[in-house]
Amino acid sequence: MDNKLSLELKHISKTFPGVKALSDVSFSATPGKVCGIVGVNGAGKSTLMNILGGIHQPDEGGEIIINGEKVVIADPKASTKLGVAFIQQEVQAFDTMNVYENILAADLNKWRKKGSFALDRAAMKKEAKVHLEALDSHIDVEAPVYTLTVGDKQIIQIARALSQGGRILLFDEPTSSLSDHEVAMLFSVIHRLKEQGYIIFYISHFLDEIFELCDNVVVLRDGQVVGKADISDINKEQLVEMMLGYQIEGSTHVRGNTLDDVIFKAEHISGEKLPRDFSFELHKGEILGVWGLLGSGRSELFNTILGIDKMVDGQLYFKQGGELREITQKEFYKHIGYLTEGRHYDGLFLNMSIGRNITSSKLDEFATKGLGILNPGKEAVEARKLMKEVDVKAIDENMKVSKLSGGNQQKVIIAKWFLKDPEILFMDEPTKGVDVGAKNEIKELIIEKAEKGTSFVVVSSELEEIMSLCDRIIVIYEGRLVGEVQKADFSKENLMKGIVSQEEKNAE
Amino acid sequence: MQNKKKFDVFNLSSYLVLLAILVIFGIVGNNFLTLRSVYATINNGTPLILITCAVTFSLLVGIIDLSCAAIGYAAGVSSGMLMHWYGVPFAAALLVGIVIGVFLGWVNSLLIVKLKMNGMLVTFGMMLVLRAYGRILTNDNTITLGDHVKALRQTRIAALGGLQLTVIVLIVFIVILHLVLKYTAFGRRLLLVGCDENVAKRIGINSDRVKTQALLLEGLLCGIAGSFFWIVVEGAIVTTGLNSYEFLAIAGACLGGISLLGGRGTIFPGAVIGSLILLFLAAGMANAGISIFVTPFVRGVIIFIAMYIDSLRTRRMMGNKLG
Repeated sequence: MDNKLSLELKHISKTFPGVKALSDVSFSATPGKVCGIVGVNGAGKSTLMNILGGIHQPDEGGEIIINGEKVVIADPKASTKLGVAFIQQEVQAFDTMNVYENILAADLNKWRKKGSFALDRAAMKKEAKVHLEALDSHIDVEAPVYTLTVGDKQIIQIARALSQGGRILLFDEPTSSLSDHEVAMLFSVIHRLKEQGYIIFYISHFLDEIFELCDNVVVLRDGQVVGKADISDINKEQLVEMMLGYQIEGSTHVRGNTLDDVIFKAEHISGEKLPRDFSFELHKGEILGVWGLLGSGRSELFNTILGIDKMVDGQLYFKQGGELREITQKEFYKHIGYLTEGRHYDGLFLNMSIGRNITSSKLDEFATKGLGILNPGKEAVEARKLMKEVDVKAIDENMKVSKLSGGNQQKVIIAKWFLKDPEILFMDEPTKGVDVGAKNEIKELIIEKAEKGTSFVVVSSELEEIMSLCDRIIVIYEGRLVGEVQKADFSKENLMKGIVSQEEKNAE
Repeated sequence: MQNKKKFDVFNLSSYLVLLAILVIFGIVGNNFLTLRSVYATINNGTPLILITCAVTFSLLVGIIDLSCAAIGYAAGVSSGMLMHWYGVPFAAALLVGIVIGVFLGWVNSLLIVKLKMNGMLVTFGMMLVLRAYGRILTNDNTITLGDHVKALRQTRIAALGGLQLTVIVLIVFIVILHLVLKYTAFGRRLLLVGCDENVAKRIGINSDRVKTQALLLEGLLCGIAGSFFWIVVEGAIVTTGLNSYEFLAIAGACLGGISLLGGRGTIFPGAVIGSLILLFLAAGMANAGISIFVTPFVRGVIIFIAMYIDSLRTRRMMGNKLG
């Protein structure tokens, strides 16, 4: 690796019409170190990345210095040429092509045999292998990519970045779709890259990852650098405070232990694969957590109960007219709301306005009986009311949802379900990909709503979150119920108990 | 931050194109902008305009229906032959045509929605089948309907400068469809399903039902377009009736800003202005004495331009993510 690798930003500002997205940002990076970049949504991380990626140009007066030379990154191509490479949140891979084709896809012309149009596949495979080996990965270069796990695809993306001559690697929320095991694998790859002297930037909302992986951290807030520190010099509370500019109060919420009546009961729920023979009860106004490792069948449990995946066996009981009665999935769906995990995939109409997204859950409310003529005035009033209730930060209800930040998008989804005001709300990772500030607000919203009598079933892979939010947690492992923990007994050990004993059983 | 009421050149683009065509041929042409000539162009275009409105409903839920014109043709041939062979009164024949339109829409929905087959190819097959059906039925002869539709054909409203009855009927349809799409829960559901089917399902919208409804409505409108407008305007059953209108209709819809991906579009100005552009372009060129072989060439170019505008619009909507 060449010795003079360096990156320095001096007084970078970026003004968009009406907004100063970045102001006077300066920092430098050292080869062989992982530098974390943190900040809440809207702090300017994306703008900074877009400037390095050549998508935006900084305002006059700022300087980008790479390898000691002042550079202008006019477009994404120039950025690649300078050795800047991005590894993004959404894994970008061509599913139907092979691993080596994926790795070398960016510059196929280079791999043409001399004097012919055919690709020199043997040489390509060899080259791809070199890059994979550099990452200590044993992925078969000839495997079609659709057979790989998301984690492997992520590795391929890194290999592709290296094959394009990437020296300055920017990881943008790379773990948000990875399992724990895959995250560990990715981290070891990043460690390897670090040892080889690359410059590595790591952006993440998961502060635990920042502390585990990074050597130092740059904190952005409102477009300014508000803190730079070695990771060993600060703790999580200090970091959060820097990001937000104020201290988070611990959840002051104390909820009574006395639970109301059972409102819903699921018995012996089995899907085609997961879950298996799963039963639980839900009380009125309760926040029930469903916790399990990735792949344990948490989302499958929701999808099976709600009739999105096929239910092979099992009964649902729902309280109607004062008593629990068996209910069909179709009928049950009318009484519930379902916040799905994939916000962009099946949570929002991205190209529609905030207002239309919110009112979509209860369209009949705004339409006359019979002809179904909508009342746009009433829609707007309701949408604005809910935007205020959940505190969506936007100009007005006509703004497109795609223009909002992750946290605000999530709040629009919550507003949508609050409008329907179902008796039970199923939430799969309600704070995924949302910054610390919004995370807390969303938690508060859920607790407030539960106090008014709505029951919640919440899946979250973040232990701290689920323990601070829920009244009771049930533990799922391989699609089975393996434990139940009451609020008073919440601890990682107690939650793991069921899983550990099940694993021991399996081992026998 | 963006201005709330920004001057939006994209929303005006279809009007501007139509205006440009009218002005250009108004100058170049020979009495092109007389009331009579404008009325005649619109009257001859009534089947196309209605089919464009019809296809808009399937486009909105993300189905590109290539059989729209053929459905109209089949419905028109059927009702025309009933009149010709059995002397069935026009009203009854029209009803049969409409029923056939709805039925064919239902068949499409069965194949596309229930059996999950690819919409474009299913409707392409449907188009071939229906075209053949019509030619078999008529033995590939032109059949003049004469007295059956003459009265309707020649009814004009003198107070409006001789506006044809058909145009008035069309306007009524446009108004109703526009209101249905814009102000009813049904219309909103179409947009929601077209915008993102997965999200719609999670909210509890029965997206299969919505798509079926869209195809049924489309079939209904195509049936009317064929058995009322086409037959009345032509006064005959011709074997090339509504030929290649599916492409004109889809292109017109795109010109009017209806997204081929679904979820975005309007009847007015969308479908209506879009189809008027293609109509007046052809009429203007004929009027200016340009060879009819040139018309498709120019139409093609106009479609390129429209698609470019569409892609600009889509890119802007997606937040220009890929630069």
